[in-house]
Amino acid sequence: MRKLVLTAMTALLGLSLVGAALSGEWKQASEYAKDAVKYNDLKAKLGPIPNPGKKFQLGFVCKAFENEFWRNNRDGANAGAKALQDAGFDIKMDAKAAQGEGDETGQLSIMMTMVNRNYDGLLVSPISEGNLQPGIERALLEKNIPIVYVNDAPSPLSSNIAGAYHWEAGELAAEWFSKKIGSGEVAIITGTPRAAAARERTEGFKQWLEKNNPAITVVDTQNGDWDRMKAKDATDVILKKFPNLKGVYANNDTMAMGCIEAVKSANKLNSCFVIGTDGTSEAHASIKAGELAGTVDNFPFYMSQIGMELLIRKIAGQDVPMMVYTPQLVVDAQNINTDGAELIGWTGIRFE
Amino acid sequence: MNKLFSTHGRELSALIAIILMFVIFTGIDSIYMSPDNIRDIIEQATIYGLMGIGITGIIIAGGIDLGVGSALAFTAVVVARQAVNGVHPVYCMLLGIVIGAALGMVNGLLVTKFKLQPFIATMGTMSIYRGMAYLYTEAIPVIGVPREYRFFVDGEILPYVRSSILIFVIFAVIVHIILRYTCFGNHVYAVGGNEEAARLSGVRVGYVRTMVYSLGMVGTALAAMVQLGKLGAGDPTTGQGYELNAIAAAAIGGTSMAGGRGTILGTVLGAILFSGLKVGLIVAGVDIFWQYVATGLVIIVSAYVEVLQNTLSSGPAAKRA
Repeated sequence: MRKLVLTAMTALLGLSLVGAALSGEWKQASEYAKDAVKYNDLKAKLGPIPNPGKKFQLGFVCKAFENEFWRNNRDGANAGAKALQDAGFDIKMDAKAAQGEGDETGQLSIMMTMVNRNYDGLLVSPISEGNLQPGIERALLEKNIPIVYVNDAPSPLSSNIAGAYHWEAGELAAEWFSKKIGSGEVAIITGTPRAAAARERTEGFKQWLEKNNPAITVVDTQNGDWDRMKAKDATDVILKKFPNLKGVYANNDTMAMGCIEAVKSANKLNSCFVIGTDGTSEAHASIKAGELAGTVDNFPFYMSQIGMELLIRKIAGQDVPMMVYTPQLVVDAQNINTDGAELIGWTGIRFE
Repeated sequence: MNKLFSTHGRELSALIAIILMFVIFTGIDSIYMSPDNIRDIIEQATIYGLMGIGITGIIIAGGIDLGVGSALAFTAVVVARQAVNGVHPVYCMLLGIVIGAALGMVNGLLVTKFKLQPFIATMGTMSIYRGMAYLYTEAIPVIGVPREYRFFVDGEILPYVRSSILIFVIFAVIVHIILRYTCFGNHVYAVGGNEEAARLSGVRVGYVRTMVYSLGMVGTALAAMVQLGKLGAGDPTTGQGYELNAIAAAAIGGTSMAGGRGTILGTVLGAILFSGLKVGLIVAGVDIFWQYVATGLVIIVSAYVEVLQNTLSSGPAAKRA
């Protein structure tokens, strides 16, 4: 009996593997990474957007508004729609989010409602790699509703994505340290290791230094679990183990704020610089106050508008690359007072 | 010695584990024994320690509280807002304690009056308290907690002694006295050991349960206020997953998940073991993925030591009978 069950299970496993191989519709995101385009390189190439000359109802399936990042995404999309309305286009944007980043099914019902109402195009940020699959299939395969993913995409990838390149974020932070300190010891506080953003930012940082400036060594990498307190606790210990530490790179700004508290209580604000990631309002305030050295800002407010532009281009029938990296750069004391749109050269969505 | 081991076996084995841990990590890197490092270990034990002390009482009474992480966030943001508005630290502390007691009492009433399973009831309030923290702040961290408040709860009042450690010690002593030397304390153990027997012997089970949830959450409120002092910002997203670490501190210290058994001293040692391990793994330069494995191993091994002790101590007793 046990043998029978075992054989049946092996057969099932085999079948599912064959099934997965046959359904060639979806491709791994990594296959597109090599052809990825930076938005600012793309902008000139794309040319003007043909005037749609009709009403649009767009939807944005967001993750969770408890996170400032996603709120900025939403506000950007709404601001983008408002600007187009002011210019005389009848384009509406409906941005809704799940109840927290654990509410995978709630997010699916939000998407399903938008799909069933036959929205003209959808921006989508799936909570997990698979939770929106039924909605995505119905939109793309049954109803021909174009989709552009914002920041996160399901794997395998089934439509275009506009988002920050996490790897590049790590590289930008590394480059900043290289200019600022030249040589010496730095440490990394990572996000929860299962998150791709945490892994890629960390690896991008390490490898940029290995290649471009081996005089800076990463002496420690600790997990801060995206948590302020855990980041502070870890930094406290690292600062004592490596008294000559010249910098800490944190995978997000919440943790960076914890690192800053540790650096402050060790009286090392002038010798040990903390760089965060994301560009939250708290990080900006801290940079202005002369505490946080900088943050790799990925401008979520403009990220969603770039996603929206790509979506409108798709609706208008234009071809857009599968992967478009949205602009990001280090915001520090030098450029903290410059407007984000000016920093990244964003000029808004324009029709011909 | 035998007698000491039979009455305080759990605490002794936790203490032995701590000494062992110190020997091992100091062997790897002598910096582990430096005063600065030991101070880090004790300071980092305060948050989970305060939460763990509170939850120990709840677990002894046969309950569980999964909502402490969310309650930590809610208390932190409310107190942070008041501190930023210039309310005196003492009033901030009092307010936090009242909030903690109230949040705990809600959990207690859900369990006793509405007869909900503690696991389900506190899972519900876990979500409600988190939502309240988001609503209160619109999910934006409350920043700029004034220096006076931060010094009051986490200032270095003596060389190497922060006020947060005093708060930790005082709360531990108070709860220890309540559990060990008062009638209420006896009832807590009785309710967790055998609820029916306690009820029949006249213990007001519902009252005891409700009060122990309330007292327990005060520990979390204190942890929230200490954390506020350490971070200088009230973050509504904080505390996620902290409940498990607090429960782990209690469990490592010998609190029985079935109720009826456990001590505050054990939990304090458990919290120190836990933070000593965290710091040690960083000092020793252990890969972050292996840190997960090591932490899990320590929890399992220390639980197994308790099982071993039970079989050892019940062995000779059984023979005598």
